[in-house]
Amino acid sequence: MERREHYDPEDIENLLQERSYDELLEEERAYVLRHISGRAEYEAMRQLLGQVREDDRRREPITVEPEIRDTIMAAFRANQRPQWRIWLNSIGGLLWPKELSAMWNENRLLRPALAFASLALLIVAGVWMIQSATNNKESAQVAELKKEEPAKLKVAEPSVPATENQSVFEPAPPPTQQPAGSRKDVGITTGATRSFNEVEMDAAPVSGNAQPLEVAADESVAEKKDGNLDERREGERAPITTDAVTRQSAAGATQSATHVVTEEELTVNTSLANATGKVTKAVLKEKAERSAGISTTLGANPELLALIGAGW
Amino acid sequence: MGVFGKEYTTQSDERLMELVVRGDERAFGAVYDRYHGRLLNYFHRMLWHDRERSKDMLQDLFTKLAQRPTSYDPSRPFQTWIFSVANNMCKNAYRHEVVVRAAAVEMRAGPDRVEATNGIGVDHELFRDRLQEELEKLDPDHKATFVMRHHEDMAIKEIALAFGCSEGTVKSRLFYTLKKLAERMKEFNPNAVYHGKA
Repeated sequence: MERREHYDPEDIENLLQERSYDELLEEERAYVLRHISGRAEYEAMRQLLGQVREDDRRREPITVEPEIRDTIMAAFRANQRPQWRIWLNSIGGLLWPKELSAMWNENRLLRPALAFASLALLIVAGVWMIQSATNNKESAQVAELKKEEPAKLKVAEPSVPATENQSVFEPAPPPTQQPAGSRKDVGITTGATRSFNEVEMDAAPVSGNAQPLEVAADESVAEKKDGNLDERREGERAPITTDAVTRQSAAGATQSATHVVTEEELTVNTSLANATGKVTKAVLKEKAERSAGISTTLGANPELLALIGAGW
Repeated sequence: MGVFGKEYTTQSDERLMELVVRGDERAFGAVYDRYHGRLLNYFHRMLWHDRERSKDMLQDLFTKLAQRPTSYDPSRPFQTWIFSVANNMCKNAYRHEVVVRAAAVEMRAGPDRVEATNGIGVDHELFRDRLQEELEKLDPDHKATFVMRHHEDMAIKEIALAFGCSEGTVKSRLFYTLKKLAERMKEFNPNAVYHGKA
């Protein structure tokens, strides 16, 4: 039975350190000779090993400057600062790396260029959304304003001839012949009055002044807005319109051979309305306000002012 | 500082690293004081005896440790871990300059050197230079193993842990490295017969 080796090949180092070739036991020498050619090589290795150890002992150790220690300790202290600063630094370094090539990193999650592009896209999208929202608001406001225009046209055009037909070109009908309900066509357009006014307009088109048109239109719009306004209130608008026209004619600016509504007629109309007992103080107040508005409107009319200027 | 300083000097490396991970600056200073000399000499031997470069490498190593103390694996002895890190840094340095250094060694080596050392007396400076030349011709792992074992006096087990290999591998590396060096540097052996070959 073969005797098992007590030494591995790598354990020769211990033998080299401890014993010369001549000091080796038979067993050890046999083992050494399996891995080493002979005495010379063994002694050379042993010599070299000793010289290496001797050289290492003679070597002067290298010293380090204390500045290096200070630098390292400063790095350690800097690392112990709050983490959010480091986090911000890392974000800043990621978003704005020192080298431009790092803007497009191999790691898809760390691509500053992609981050910048995403940020720019978000900003553009945000601006677009804000602009579109602003435009929508403006459009809504314009739409509200435009809503009134068709009402103005539909209501005002027929109402003006009616006003003029009744107040300017025709004498005021007596109270008995024209009840309050029939005056509805003065301020408010109905189907019957509409047809009547159209006929009248074909026969005698309105000349010149458009101011009553605006007045009537405004009132018509007001009437449309207030759907609960009863007919009596609507009936009261005829004098307002005629009142405006009267003031206009009184300023000496308009038609020559037309009927001028007098204060008496207005009184009659008002008294007629009062006779019904249904005119309230609020209606009178509203009438006064509207009259004031009309005056303002007339005063602001450039054509009227031009006529006044010509009169002067 | 007195009482705590004494405690720091008597603490084990692993205990100090625990404190370092918690942010203890003095523990980090103790670790530096304990290892900076050995590591600097290791770098010096591994990196062609370049002092400035060795200092730079030492500073880099401890700066990395300061910035990321958690990179230390507590399951491993600190000494083997720090030397394995240092060895990896040396390998990286080799990758960049091994070609240049090999060319420089070829230019420096000459027959006159052999003649000068062909005698009984051994010039330690010459032996040192020649040993360094021969070590640099070796594989980096073999060289590092040799330096750790014969210059840093590290145990076979510690070297094995530093390299992540078996103890048998370390012993084998040491044996064949020593055998190769003895063959290449036999002119320094006063008992050997010199045949005129380097």
